[in-house]
Amino acid sequence: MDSVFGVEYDGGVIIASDQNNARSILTYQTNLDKVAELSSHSAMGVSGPNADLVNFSQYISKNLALYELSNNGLKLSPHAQANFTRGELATALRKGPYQVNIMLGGYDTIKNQASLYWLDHLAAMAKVNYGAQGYASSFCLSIMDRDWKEGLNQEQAVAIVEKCIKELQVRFLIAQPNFIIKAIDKDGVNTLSFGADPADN
Amino acid sequence: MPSANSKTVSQNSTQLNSQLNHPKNARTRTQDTRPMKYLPYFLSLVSTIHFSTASYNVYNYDLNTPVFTPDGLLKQVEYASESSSHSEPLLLIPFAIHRYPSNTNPSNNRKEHLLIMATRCQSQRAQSRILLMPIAFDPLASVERSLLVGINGILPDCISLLQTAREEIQFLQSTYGAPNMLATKVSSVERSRPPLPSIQCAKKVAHAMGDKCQQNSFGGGIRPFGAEIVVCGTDPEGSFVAYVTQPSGAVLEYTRPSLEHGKVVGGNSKKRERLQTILKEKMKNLKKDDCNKDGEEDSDDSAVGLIRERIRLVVQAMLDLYQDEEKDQVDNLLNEIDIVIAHSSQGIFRMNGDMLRNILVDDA
Repeated sequence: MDSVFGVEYDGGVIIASDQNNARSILTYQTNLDKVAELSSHSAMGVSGPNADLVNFSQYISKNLALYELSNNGLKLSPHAQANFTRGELATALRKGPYQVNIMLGGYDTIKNQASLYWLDHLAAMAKVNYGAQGYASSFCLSIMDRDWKEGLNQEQAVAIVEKCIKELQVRFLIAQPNFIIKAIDKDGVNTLSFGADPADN
Repeated sequence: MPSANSKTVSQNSTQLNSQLNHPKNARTRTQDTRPMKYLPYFLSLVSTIHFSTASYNVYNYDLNTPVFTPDGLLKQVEYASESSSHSEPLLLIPFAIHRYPSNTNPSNNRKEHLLIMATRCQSQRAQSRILLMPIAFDPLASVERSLLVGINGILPDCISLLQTAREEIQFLQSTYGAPNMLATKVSSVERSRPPLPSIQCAKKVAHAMGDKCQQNSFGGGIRPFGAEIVVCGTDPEGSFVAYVTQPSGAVLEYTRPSLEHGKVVGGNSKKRERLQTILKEKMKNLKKDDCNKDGEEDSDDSAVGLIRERIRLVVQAMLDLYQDEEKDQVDNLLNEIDIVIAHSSQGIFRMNGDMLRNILVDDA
């Protein structure tokens, strides 16, 4: 039911998700932040039950922080973070799976390169230029297929994301009034816009 | 580990059990007070167990705690450190080449880092002491990316420790994905030439081996590893860092400043010190690493020249050390020298005797 999608551009990644927190026929809140910051230069958009969303994203981000503390401040690259995350999903798969589908984006400050990964609740992983999880893929992938090209800048990438959001708001059965958009580039993870402030209680 | 005590406790409890299950007791088990009759016996037995001392049993010799000397040394581990002195010394010489491909565009200037690892092996030996441990295979570039490793000490111990290294590499690969284990400042031009393993990878591998050494440094009937293993990695700037494991489990890290005049690992202390002084003298006379500044066109030849100079230095240092001066002895030495050159972005090259002869001939 969650819409999570991401677009890579030259120098960064955009990750967007809707802000609905709902179960069955009830909407609990419409200002949830589903794009969890993992480290200074990476974030993952997570779709799935709120319990697993929070539990898994905190588990991964704290493990990444532990790695940094244990290794004299050395950070893991986005590639390593994605592989680590996939490994955790794989280990849990045959014990008690995390029912989360993830778009993980990061910026490698040493290589000066951004990357985006699509991860599944079955621990599949693919490095992609753009992608979407859930029902959003049916609506958004065709837009991204047509508009994405090598060497986009941030404005163009945001334009693609906004087109996808508009498409969902017009054509998707479930009303998702609010979307949060975050960009990850050399300056870290920044929230570009949100429909409703996640900090509101 | 109170082995004698545990034996006596178990023996006594079996006696107790047999007493309680005696047929005489079985008949009257319904009465509650009957078991209480045996309580004094039990208490007295417990008290004797508490105060009895362990008797010396020759079969329990390895169940005691490890033996420290009165001045706090683990002698076996110290002796194990000497085992690496039986190998020939292993040299590590890092250096850098500044490339100024175009003086009009300073951003193209870059520094290339190289490391020479050299040692002398017996010519018939099946196992070289300088190894490449593959950590990833990139089918597109069709080049294997490897960790540069040098081994000293008792050969079987080294090989056994390398198995630990392989397991650690495999763990790192499956957790973090293989290419991450590589040094990272790679421009798109150089992408076809895979870079060398990063410090993170080398450090973790070295520490895994160190931990294994420490676990095996003492215990019930096991002996320390008599091996020192050198693992090299490159930091994001490209310069080399070497990690050396010790039989005690310590891992020593040698960064650029401490490798300035070359580093000698292994070999008996006399040879090691002599080689270190020889290297220091020779390296003072070398041209600095800079490669044609001041408006000259950059050429590969000058970089190659610098490399050849370093190789000649290594061979000369070895000749001085082993004092082989006659021609056929020099030939012998060239057959037995193992020189491996690692470039921070262009891979690892192993020199063979013919290449070395060509280099020396050009010089003479």
